[in-house]
Amino acid sequence: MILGNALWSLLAMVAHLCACLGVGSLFWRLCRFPKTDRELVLYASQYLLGFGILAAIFTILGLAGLLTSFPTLGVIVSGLGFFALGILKGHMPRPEVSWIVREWGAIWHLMIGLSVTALFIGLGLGAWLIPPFGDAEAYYLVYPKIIAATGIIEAMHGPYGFFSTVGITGEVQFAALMVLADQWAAKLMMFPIAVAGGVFLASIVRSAGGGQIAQTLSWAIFGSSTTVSTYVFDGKVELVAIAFGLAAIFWLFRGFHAQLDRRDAILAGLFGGLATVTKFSLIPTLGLSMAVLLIWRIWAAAEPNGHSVGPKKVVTFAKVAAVMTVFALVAWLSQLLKNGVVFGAPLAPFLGMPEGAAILDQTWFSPEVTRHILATYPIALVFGRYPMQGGGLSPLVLALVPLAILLRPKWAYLRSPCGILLVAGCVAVIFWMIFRPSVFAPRYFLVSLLLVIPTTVMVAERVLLSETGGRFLRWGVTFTAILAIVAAFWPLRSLPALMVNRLSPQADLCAGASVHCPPLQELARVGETGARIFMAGYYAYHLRPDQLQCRDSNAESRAIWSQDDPIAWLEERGFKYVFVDLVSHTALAPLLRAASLDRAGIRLLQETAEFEVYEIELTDASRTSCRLDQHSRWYVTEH
Amino acid sequence: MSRTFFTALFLIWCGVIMAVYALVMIPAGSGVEARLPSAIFELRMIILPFFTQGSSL
Repeated sequence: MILGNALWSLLAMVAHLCACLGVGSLFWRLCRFPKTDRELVLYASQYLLGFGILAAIFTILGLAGLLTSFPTLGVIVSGLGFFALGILKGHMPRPEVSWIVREWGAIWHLMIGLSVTALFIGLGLGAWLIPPFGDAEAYYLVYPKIIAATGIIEAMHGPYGFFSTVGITGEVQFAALMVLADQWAAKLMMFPIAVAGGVFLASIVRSAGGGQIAQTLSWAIFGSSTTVSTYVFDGKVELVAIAFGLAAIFWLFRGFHAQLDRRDAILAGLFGGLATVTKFSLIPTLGLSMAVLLIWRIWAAAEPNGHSVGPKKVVTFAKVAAVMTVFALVAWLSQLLKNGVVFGAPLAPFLGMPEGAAILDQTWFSPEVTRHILATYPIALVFGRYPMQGGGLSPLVLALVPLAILLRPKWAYLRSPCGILLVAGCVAVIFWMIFRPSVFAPRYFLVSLLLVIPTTVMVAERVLLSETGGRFLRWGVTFTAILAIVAAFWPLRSLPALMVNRLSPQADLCAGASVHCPPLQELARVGETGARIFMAGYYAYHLRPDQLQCRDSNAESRAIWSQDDPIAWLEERGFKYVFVDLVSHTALAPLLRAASLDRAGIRLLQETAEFEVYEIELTDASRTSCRLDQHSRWYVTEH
Repeated sequence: MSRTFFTALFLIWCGVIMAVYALVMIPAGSGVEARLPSAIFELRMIILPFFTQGSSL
């Protein structure tokens, strides 16, 4: 049974993957989108296109309250049908792996390739076995858990209600996989997404002229960047946006020696739209990088000797940019619909809701710390360990940079295909440094940041293959790459124990989980169905779905701090349990502790160094309770 | 610059980068940090504030 559950989550994820491929492949043929010379890129493109389409379908189902077992299964089975039809009719790209053997070179190259492969397998297992942690426990898996339990997309219950105005391309897929299987299937979905991202990055390197060594090194940098690897297994959806963004860059950049094909521009617009709707911070950064690449393509790439700014080229630029924008907006339609239906403000959080500034205009650090961060760019991108940063780039980037000295770089390099990627990336990063200096999180502009990698790896490849690169240099690079990859394995060291636990008859549900898991699991075990919980803490994931629906609202989570008698207020609002995170919500604990000693009707239920849980004996004075409606959804009602 | 000299410099550079990375990435309060030799721990305490200014790990 245990093994059956574990395999079911794996099977559900594979079915979802094939359904995305089936739908993506169908639309690819219907829209007559172009083929590529490497089938893996076509697979990744069709997968991401299908992913975006299924996300829109699930969003519409969710808004209608139909994201339940049968409709969800129907969508997945239909996708599987398209996938099977595609295979039977020979429309699916044939997996072509002979280039791996054909283009493989020396033993040191093979060693880097095998290490990268092992790392990605480890990350996939991590996605399958490591419980969600961090922001995933607060929002990214909590919202899907509620949607999966209720079948409807509403504003998220609790203090993150307003945050659910952001795009939910990844979250709604998590919800669908939770409906079909469980959280493990949902988390595992990030593995093919990460692989798709790696495929596009390597393909951008290849399009820029990089060979097999440069592509392998780009995989090594991608996988060993903690701002990538962490998001494969933590339960967040960051990589969905990154994969879409890299796909957009690839389709805009490929075939740069000729005029930009109309369908390539459409695909770039679609993937760009999907990237920006999934992660709003990519609107300015990815937008800038794509604008630089588009300008370069129209003015320079197709005719290297004709750099005139003629009116004809301005018109061409305007036309292509308009086409891309229109198709980017197509990708935003389900988001506009969702916010229109749920919040009555289609353009939220940008327009129509005053709380929008809380999401869009953030300041994380003091001016002194911000100045320090800016002064330490770009090494802070690799070594930085700031709160909320969410990982950094691979140390391999910094390690390989000195090799550029050997090539005696000239300014003309910046007009080359690889150089223009560097410019497109740096322009966006500098933009972020100027306009959001205090928000130091490489993931917010990761697509643009990754555009420095083609230069890094292609320089390394040229040196390693030239006479300058001797045996020691090659082994030095190999050893450094393997060390960087080994470092990325560090968070995965508990995998064997987690695997044994998962397959054991009495699996510990909190094995490998954060400190929030045991007290919340206990509360989920003992808590009465439909009893209200006041969560004085951020990370509610491990509560039951009914508890998540009956928890404190955004207004209540703030109102408690202005009450003269918080205990009486909690009783009045019908809260049966109070969970206090002593690290983040310290102020509430002394009040509750004193009340539990002095007053009847409130008692300490659980106590650890980090948390306290109180139970309140409710009286008739409660004006609020949580009730089940005819659709088996819990709603807080006033008496 | 001779090839040998450059290779030696490059290898030292890679070593320094990876060493700093390892020192910075060790989780604070972990068993690994507790087992660090005192000289290396001191070195970590010198490097860490440079990349964690104003923050607590």
